[in-house]
Amino acid sequence: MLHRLAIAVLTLVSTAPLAWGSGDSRRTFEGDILPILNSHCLQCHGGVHQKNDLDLRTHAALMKGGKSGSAVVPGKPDESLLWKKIVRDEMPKTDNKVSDANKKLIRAWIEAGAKGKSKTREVNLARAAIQPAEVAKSIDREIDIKLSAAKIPASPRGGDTEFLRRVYIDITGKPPAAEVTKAFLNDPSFDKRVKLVDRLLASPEYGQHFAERWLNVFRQMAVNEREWEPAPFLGWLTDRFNTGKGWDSTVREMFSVTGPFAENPQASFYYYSADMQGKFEPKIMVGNLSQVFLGVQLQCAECHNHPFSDYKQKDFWGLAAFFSITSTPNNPPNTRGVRDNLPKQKPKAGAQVSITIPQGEARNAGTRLRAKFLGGAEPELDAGASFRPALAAWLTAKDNRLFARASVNRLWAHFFARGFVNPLNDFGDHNAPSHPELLDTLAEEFVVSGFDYRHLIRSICLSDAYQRTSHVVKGNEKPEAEPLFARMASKVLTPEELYDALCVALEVSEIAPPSDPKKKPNPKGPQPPSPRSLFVKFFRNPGDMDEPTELKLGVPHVLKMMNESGFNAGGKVVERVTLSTKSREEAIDELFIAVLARRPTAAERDRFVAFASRQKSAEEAYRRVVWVLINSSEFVLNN
Amino acid sequence: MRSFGTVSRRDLFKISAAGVTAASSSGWLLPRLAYAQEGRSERPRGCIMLHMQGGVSQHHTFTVPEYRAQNDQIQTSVPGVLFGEYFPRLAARMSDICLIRGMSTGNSVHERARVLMHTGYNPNGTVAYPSIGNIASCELGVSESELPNFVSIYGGSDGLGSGPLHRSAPAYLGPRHAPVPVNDPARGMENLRPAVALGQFDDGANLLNEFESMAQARRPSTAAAAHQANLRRAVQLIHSDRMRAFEIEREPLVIRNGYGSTQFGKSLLLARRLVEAGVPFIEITLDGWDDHGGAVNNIRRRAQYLDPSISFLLDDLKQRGLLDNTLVVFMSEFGRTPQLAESGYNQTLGAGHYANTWTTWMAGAGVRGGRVIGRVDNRGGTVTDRPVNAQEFLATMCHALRIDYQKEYMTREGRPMTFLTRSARPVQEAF
Repeated sequence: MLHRLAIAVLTLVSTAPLAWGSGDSRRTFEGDILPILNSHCLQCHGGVHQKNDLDLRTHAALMKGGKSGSAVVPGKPDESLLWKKIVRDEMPKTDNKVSDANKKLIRAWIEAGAKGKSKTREVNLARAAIQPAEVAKSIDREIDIKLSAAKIPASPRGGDTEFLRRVYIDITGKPPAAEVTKAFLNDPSFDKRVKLVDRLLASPEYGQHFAERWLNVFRQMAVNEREWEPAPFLGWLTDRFNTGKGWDSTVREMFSVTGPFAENPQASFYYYSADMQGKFEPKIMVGNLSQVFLGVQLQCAECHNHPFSDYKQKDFWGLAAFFSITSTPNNPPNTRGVRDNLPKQKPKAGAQVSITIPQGEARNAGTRLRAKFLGGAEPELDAGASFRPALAAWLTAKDNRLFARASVNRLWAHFFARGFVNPLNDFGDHNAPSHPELLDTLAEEFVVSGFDYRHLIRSICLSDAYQRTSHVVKGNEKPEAEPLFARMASKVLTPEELYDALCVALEVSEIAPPSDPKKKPNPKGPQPPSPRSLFVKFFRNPGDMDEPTELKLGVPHVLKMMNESGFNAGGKVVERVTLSTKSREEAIDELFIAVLARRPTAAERDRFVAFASRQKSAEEAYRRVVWVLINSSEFVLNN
Repeated sequence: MRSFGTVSRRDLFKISAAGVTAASSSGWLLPRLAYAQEGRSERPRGCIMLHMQGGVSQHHTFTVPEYRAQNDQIQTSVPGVLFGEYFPRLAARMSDICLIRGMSTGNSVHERARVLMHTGYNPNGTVAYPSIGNIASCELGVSESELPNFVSIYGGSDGLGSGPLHRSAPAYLGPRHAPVPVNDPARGMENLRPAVALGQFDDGANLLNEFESMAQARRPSTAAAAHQANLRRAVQLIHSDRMRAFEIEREPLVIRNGYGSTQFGKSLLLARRLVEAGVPFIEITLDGWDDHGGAVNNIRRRAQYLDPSISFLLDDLKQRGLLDNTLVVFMSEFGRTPQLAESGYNQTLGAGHYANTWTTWMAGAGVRGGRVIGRVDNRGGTVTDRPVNAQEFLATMCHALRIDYQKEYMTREGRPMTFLTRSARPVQEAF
């Protein structure tokens, strides 16, 4: 494995300079140099250690230098300490030396003036939202500029079947049923894709799907392993999406909620920030809040200043202070919900809201810190009321660029399998976005549309970038084409999507697991879990979902799909096709449409017909055909 | 290896993950890989970890306190070393066992302590740590093995439950190193038999193979390649005789009887078959040790099958020449209280959680048998000599298994991680 890894590294390093081109003057500290320093230098010259007082995390700090003076003299590499130390391998002192290619890059950057990033453009939050088709055009403009600069060809727009299955799964979480596919393919109208997107966004499945995806994001962050009934919260979120509420107000309501569950299902949100026993923990909330809603890795600053970026321990605990008096009861579902333990007597005016860094592994334990917005002010808070509404208002404010950008980045990744910033929760100077202008444009559009999810989804789905085929064209099969969106990525279906896709394909409402002969049903006992929840539980792997192109299934999952009776039975589709078709050719076509939402190619049809004629009966043959199709990689992926 | 260039660490992670899963899809069956073919000179080490979930009372098992035992002490095969009276057979095998009497781990909250004992770290909610089983899968496993590299067997529940079973999440090692669960040792690994006749299954599998090469050739993706690799391994497993390792009914009656008819005994037998077949790490969880009502009666009951079946496992491994490279570990998340309060909840010996003084043991894989490491005071409440914390405990396991616990891995976020801290040291006296 080590060996293989080493080969992979060598291959990539040797091909990478070709992609950069020769425009040295465009190179910036943040885009090109910081990633190298990150790998080699920041352990000792970063947020945790600053040996010789040298901090290499920002352009300004680099220019300022350490005890030995400025680290870089722009234009003069041979007079720059950074270069002198690195070129002779004096630094880093570990075996992790800087490669020759990277040394060249550093030298070229210093020669070209050691520039930092250019100022980002001003945002205009006073303007009105524009039409989705216009937003789609600006998406394509920005994407195409980067592609042509890198001389990477884009794959063409995909066909109707590819678009249909993709957009169905992306918006509703399930592929289209056979009749839908046939109707769409037969529809001659030129604007049928636009109409389809509108129809899907108006369907209740849209809200269900996005609510479920968000709950999975929260679940993935949770350390609290005690399960509780997610249905009320899921229903609440579904309703927020389906009634078109702004994402800002949805997030505000989740953060500000006070009171019992019965009236406030969104109170469940606080359980995703509970410790392993189910007790709400302000510090877990801050880790989650910063990663999910601000897209930054503030959790590193819980115990020490952030090693790679500028966040300080006081930034982390400043946010935690807003939750310092918040509590949830131990065992959900409990009627008490979320509350703040307010002082019994009205506090004096100007009383400070603060939190103490607890004893433990963290540095500076015992220090009291005032409530403070990230990168912002210490607000005047009424110590006699909940502090959370103030935090929620700051978090979702129109001018909180972190919130809008993190939201847009996550939504983009939902459709394209990667964000402009990856991982989705790691924004910062050390990790420049692939398309900074487009990220800003979409964030601005999101804000001025009233944080309207459907507006952005419509815009994205109408773009050529989204509608591109996932097939390669010569020149875009390279890994460096991936972050440029040269072709559509193949996303792995989530466990929920996979189960729903199986039901659609088999034309059944549920697929029951084989009954356990040892367990007798107990009519008085609690409701047994649904087949869907059992399936999802089996197929859900621990690990993150920010890698939608990565298959997380293993052999036990494949064996289950291959050999469990429910997936071998053929479902209603086999019955229907056996009864309604007149030839094997017609039947194979029907089965492809039902399972894969497309017609077979001529070659595929030949093979499958030949296979079917070898089987004992038509019904038996079609059952096996369905088995082949649902076990294919095409089925478990959203191409 | 350490020279990353400007390839992001995250990309590297992806490449390495793909590198081990992506494989040619042409033809299902690949030659079997054994450790000898991987160029290793000796049989790699394996581990059977007996995880007694809930908190084992040391007072009634292997460290009976001097001042007030509720059960008598018995002599072991090592002079001067005494066990609780319910474990006569293990006592007779003390010469193979290395007792660690000074476990002092500091965390007495079930789920958190389980994480601590499996990962070496208290959960902090921000960083995910892999468990010892995941590390063993990564470091000792054969990547193209037909058999899984980490199997987690549910050994049953006997007593009061204490929350969800510990899940060994692979964290930065990647999903390949997640455990394969076995919920019922008598049924083994599930879904290994096709729903149709094998010939018919193969006919379909061959069509699937052709379909894969037709449809996905124009659309290469690491996910499709990984799925194809899974398909290939699954088909291979279905045909493989090595999967017989999962079928404990193949074992002669005398052996099956030796392990006993309990779910726990069957789990031990399955574990031995798996270790023999080359699976490097098997964890067996026996739930139900949270003896708040007092431990004495519960342990007397459990000992009736634990003592003979674990003893039989040690003998069986020894007889097959497997004990020299198989580590057997008996552990829990913490121990139980010496008598504390005069009345009320947790008043009896062993009723409450207690992490400051408790006992684990190891045997095999070069661990020195007949050893007692650490001493406790006569109440059984304080370690008076050689305290061992979770990091040292896991370092000792790694040392026995020849795992470098300070090897550096990268998280997706580019944070370098080692399994245990730089300061972790194995308990040298155990070797």
